[in-house]
Amino acid sequence: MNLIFAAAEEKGNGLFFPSDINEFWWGAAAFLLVMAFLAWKVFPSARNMMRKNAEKVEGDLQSAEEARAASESRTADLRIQLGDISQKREELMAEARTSATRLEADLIARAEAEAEELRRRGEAEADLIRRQAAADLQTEMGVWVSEAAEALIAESLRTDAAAQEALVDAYITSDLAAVVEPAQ
Amino acid sequence: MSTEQTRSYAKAMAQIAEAEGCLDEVADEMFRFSRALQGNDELREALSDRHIPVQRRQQIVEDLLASRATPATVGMLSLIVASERSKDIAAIAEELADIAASAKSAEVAYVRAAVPLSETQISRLRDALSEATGKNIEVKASVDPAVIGGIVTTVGDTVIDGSVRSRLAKLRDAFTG
Repeated sequence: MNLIFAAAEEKGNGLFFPSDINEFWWGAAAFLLVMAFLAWKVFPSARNMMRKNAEKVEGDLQSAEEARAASESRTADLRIQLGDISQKREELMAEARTSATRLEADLIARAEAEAEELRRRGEAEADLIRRQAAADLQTEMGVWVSEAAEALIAESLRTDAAAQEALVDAYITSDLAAVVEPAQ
Repeated sequence: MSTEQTRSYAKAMAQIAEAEGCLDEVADEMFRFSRALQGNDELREALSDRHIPVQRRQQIVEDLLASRATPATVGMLSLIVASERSKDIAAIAEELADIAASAKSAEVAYVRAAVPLSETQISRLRDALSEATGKNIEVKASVDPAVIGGIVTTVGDTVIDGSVRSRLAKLRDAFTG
């Protein structure tokens, strides 16, 4: 202060020290007046505005934090669900594989059974045809043989009186004798 | 096949033949004629042909049997032909043979053989059949080439088949299963 007074008495330096000390006082009073006005009107509003801004930023930060937490929670849920889905998918795949294996086994077993049945039926039919053919052949041969025998014997007996007489004698002595017992 | 009508004819003829005292002869001649008729399709058809006048058909019978049968047999056969019963001659003859055999307390055995049987064979057959059946048997023999060999005898409902044909039939059955 003393330095200021001293500077003012020496007629100022031309820079920030006025040559008149009153200018200093008036300047200081104006400054204080302005500062008081600012402290009375402007600074509270500015502080209030800054406080509101800080509160808004803080609210935004809190909201962002909540959003982040919610997002993380959702992410965790999604991961859990994804895990469940994966597990479910694995279960479904395993079940599908089991079903497919069982179905494949069933189809193979059924196909083998049908093939076996077809084979067995084919063999049975072939056997039946073979037996029928053998029976037909035997019948045919039997007819041929008996017809040939009949023709041969008839022709032989037609000219063989002795054989005819022998047959009559055999009938009398054997065939009729055989019915004596039942008749008695 | 015997029917009520053939039986009636046979009974009437038996009564006439018995009255004439020739029942056995008439029955035997009728049987022989019926067997001859069975073996001769032409004669059988001629006697049954209604396009031929009855008198002509009766004349055929008389011509065939005039010297081979008694007048009673010829007359009865002529009556059967005139009555359009020619197809029943075999059945009537069998009925008549049965009646004649019954009159002697005998039963008729119808014997079919492939060749004509001798008197000796017929006599032996009669004895054997009498022994086999326990009845007095009257044999009526006829020739049937279908028998081939051996004999088939029918006594009442009993058939004693000793023919070669039946043996061949058994053989065929054995072959054919």
